[in-house]
Amino acid sequence: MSEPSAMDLTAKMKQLEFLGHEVLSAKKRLIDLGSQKNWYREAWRAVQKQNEAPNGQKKTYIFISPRVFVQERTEKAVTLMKEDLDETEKEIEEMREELKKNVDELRKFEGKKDLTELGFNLKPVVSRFIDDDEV
Amino acid sequence: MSFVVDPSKIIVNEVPKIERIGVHSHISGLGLDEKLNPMKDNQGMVGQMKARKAAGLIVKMIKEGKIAGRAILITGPPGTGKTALAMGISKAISSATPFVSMTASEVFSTEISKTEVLTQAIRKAIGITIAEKKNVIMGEVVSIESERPSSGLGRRTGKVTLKTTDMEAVFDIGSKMVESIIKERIAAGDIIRIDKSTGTVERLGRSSMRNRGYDAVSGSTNEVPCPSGEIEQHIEIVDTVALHEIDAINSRAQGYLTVFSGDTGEIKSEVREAVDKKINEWREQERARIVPGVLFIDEVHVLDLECFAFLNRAMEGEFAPIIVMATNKDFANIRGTSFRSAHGIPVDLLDRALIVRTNSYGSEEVYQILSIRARAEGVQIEEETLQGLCKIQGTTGSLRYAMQLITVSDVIRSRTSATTVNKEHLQKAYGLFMDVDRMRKSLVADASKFISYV
Repeated sequence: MSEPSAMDLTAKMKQLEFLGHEVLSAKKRLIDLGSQKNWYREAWRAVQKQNEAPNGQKKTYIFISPRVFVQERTEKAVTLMKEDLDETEKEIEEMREELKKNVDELRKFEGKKDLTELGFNLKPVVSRFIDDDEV
Repeated sequence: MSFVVDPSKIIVNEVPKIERIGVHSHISGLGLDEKLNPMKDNQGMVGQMKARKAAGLIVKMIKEGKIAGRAILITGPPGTGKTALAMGISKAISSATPFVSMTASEVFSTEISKTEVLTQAIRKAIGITIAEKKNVIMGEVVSIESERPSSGLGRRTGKVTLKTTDMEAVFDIGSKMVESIIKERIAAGDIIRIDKSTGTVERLGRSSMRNRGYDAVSGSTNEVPCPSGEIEQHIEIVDTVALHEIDAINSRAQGYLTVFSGDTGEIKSEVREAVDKKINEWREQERARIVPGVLFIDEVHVLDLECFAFLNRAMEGEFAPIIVMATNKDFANIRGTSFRSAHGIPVDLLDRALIVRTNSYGSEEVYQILSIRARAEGVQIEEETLQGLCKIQGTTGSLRYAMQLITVSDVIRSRTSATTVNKEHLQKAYGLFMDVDRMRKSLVADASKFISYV
């Protein structure tokens, strides 16, 4: 084997590893964001219930760090939690787009059909919504 | 580093295939490489280089989406590989491209009109790729709680705790979902999936980690490993559906059943127009993609003038597949008329078609084909006998007759103690079964012994 093609091969392997790593790290990040979203959601639900219950507590302590708690009016706490939740959801959406892009690049590099060819960039055909009454 | 592979170290595993051995089952492609030159692995195709190259070019154009609504005609004497070529084309284009194969005589049916049969066949050959996205919540149930508000005003609420190998979370659920969970008798340790868009709860199985160690477990529960990753997942599914299936589903109530049973009957043109309109809308919104496929019509000289006119019109249509036709007729009347035309096909259709000619095989090629067939049918045949078989093909002029003799001789061999087919078996087979030529001669010789109303 002549030298240049051996070097080519190593460079290609490196690129393949890099792309694979990108995909894996995007997936891991999504899992972490998913956990985070669940915590915010549970917190938001809990505070919301307190807020709506007629005998619920008027003020809530929010945990910031092991030594710092902040006291807020429950209504404000609801808004704060909701904001955190929405932001995490946005981050998840962005991460999903990035994951899709990384998978696309990896597939193109491997010479397989890329996602557009397979039809994954088509918009969905049906979006269904359920009413609150039906839940 | 050496990248040279030692051929002696390659292990080939033969996977037994249980499949009907049809006449063309040995063909797995056209046997051409990127530049349309014959490959070493001929994929079952022998000779007919010109026709194969033409077919290879057509496959290329199909793959690149460059020819839709075109016709291709494969003509040649009988036994020259026309249907084999069509088989090769179908295997060479990707599995995603729809390939519908029919014989022209299928057009004549008492239940549905000729044009309906053709319309259905054409629409079966057009695929629509659509995508579906859904949000699902999937995980193993840790615990389920449900409570009714103390005022007794009816609506249950509940909490279900789900976990995966990476996380655990509590979900608040409404009354409808609580009720369906109770109805499905979902308990801790079950793996469930909740479709957010429809609100349905589905039980996927029991978690294998929660095996309670009973020896006799009912067969209805299946063990599923605890899912990994996020609990809330975003799933995208892409599928290709034939246009005909969409027509059938919309043609009447419970229409989807007809897709499986096949008796769709006549589908009204309003239904088809509505489907076309919807597909066009989706295409503009980038929700659907059309995948034109290939419709293969064998023995196309059997079609009559009406059908030909219909095909002409259909090719100009909005969504049109590629129509590949095959025939072995030379000059003949167009069926149902007294107009003579080449191949029994009207001139205007001939004009629109790309014509591929197949020629009779040479003796070398015959030898190759017969040995491939022998291998495909699992018959061990001696070298000499194979040569003898080629001679038979030469004298009878029929490749098919020679191919038939392969299996017949094998059956005769199996009744003796021989392991390979030899001359005697072949001679016996030749004596038992007549070819067209001998039959003709014997008919002429014994004409007086047969009943004739002339």
